Amino acid sequence: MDDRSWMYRDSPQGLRRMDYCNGVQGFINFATSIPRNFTDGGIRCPCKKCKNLKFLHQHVVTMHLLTKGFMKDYLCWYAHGELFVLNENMVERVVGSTSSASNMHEVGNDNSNPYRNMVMDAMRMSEGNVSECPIVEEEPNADAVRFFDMLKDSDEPLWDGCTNHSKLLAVAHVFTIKSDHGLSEAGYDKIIKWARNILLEGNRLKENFYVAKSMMKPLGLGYLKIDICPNFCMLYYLENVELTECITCGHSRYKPRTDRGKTLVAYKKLRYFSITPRLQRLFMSPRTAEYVTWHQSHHAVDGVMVHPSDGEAWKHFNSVYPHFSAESRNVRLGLCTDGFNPFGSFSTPYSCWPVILMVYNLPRGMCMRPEFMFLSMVIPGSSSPGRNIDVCLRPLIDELTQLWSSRALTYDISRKQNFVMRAALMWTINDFPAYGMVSGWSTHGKLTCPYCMENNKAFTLTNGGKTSFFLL
Amino acid sequence: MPPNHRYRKNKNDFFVGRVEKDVAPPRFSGEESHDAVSEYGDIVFGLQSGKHKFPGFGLTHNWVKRSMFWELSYWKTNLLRHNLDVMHIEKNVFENIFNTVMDVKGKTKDNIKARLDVALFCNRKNMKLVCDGSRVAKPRASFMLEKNAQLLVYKWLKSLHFPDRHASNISRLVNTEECRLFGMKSHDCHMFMQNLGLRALQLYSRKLAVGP
Repeated sequence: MDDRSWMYRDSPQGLRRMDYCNGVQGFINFATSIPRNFTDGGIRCPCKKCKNLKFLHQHVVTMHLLTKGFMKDYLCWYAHGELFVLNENMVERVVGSTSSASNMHEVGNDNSNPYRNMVMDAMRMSEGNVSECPIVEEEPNADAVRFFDMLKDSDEPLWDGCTNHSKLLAVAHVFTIKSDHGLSEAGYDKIIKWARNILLEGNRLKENFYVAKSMMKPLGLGYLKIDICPNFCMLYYLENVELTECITCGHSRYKPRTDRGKTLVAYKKLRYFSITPRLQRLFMSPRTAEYVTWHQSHHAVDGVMVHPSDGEAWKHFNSVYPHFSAESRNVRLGLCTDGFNPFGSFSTPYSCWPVILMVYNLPRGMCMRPEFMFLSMVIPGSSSPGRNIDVCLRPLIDELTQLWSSRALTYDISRKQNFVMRAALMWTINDFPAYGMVSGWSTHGKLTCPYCMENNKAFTLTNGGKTSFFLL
Repeated sequence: MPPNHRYRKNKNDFFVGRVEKDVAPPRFSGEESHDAVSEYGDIVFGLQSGKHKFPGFGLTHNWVKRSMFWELSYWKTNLLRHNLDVMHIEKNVFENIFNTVMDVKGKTKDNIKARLDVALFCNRKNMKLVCDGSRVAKPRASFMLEKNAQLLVYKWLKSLHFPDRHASNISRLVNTEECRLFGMKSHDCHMFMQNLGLRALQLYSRKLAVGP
């Protein structure tokens, strides 16, 4: 890469230096020399305001660059056909700016419309897939096709001449309102019917909830509903999917059919959110992809632990599995679970168990934020699964085993490469009763402590009736 | 505890007449735990799983099942397999200490049964229950605050102001009439333990009882 120091050099009294003007001209020449950069007759504008999100005519881009300057950290012109080279200075800067939540704020705010961002992310990903990666292009990639449909939909304006709303944007807005206020499906349909009436003739607003939902579906990230025996004996999953009675306890899978009901309704359903596509999505969004390698690139200070990656367990794992740790994009996960009463009151005893996976690759300001905690499954109530939690974890363990060995082909947008992603579960985090459930070492009685195990001197207090460990 | 710690030889304040010479038990590695639990085989999940017990359960081990996580090939080499939620524990510790020191009725751990047990195992004369005819009196322990000191602490808490987003508005959670704290979230407990607790205790307690 040639010297790019001119890009961010301060200009005296608001005037641009000559080398900056020449550099901008060079940039425009470079960008326009690659035909792939053109979309609708324009190229991406890398100025501070547009941040590669807008396609503008090259003259406008020149004006923007001369007046506003380049966006932050754009030393490598990756959006204009340059291969991503990780340069030491850039890593430093990324690390320096990642330390706090304020950075997240910045990430969220760089474009005022989150729905637009959502589609732009998807768009960039599919563009990359087709134009830059011969590997993906060779395969019949159904996901990419779906994304293209989505893209076409998003670009189509709501009615001819509408500038601020696309079809997808409108639907996404109404969906948010629906979920925020608990609107019923019938209510949704009625509002849409009314909205279509007041809109111009020939508008493209989807007519009802069902159609709108099927339009949103290609965005992906769905979930699997798995029927489960109400006594937590087994899942109706894989080889047992056809069964109608539990093998162990003989409990029926479905509720008795009512006279009017035509479909079979299961007693209990486990909702499983597959983790692989969610992890892959981390790499597909330019907002997150570069941070996934943070755990390796950040500089640890001796004796100060700011992130699990500074800890002993992490380093031990690295030394045992050097092949895994050599690829810094491999994902390390943590698993948390606890009972939760969604009905808010303690008078209704109900305990469903959400299982949440954390991605420890991300910087400390990001990895504990709700956006990056992946809900992996919801184990239904009304009672806690207890030690039978293993039955419910089956699909997750299967997927983790797969992610450890057979790997998943993933597209990394920050480096514009395909790579095989692997993932490892580092540890679980629970409260003490749940610890007993997931670890298999009962946390009751005198042998409660899972570290001392049978080598402790606990005794039962004569009057208090509780176990005491303070023999001293 | 280091082998030469003076509490180990203390025969009076803790367990009467006992000198502790044992060191911490050995820590089992992942492989050892895996082998130990694998010996017992698999259990059948479902209604009966609670009744099923491996031989020696509660005596030589506490295993109830071979956890599904052992199926991950790398699980046994992990150093930390299961972790505890520290904030949750900190909240429990805070509640127990605070309620005991402030002698909150029904919440304090320094109850009659605890006093009876202390009398059995330890030599603490000032904590013995005093029988006065048909009534039993519980003398105030040295770690408990006096009533007026408690009131001072609550008033102090009531007057506290924090920077934005540092903690919830604790003064709102204080009920000075009932001498109780209500609705402390685990983050508030954390903040109390880290910043306020020591200061509150230093200011108002006379002298803490001897304790490890």
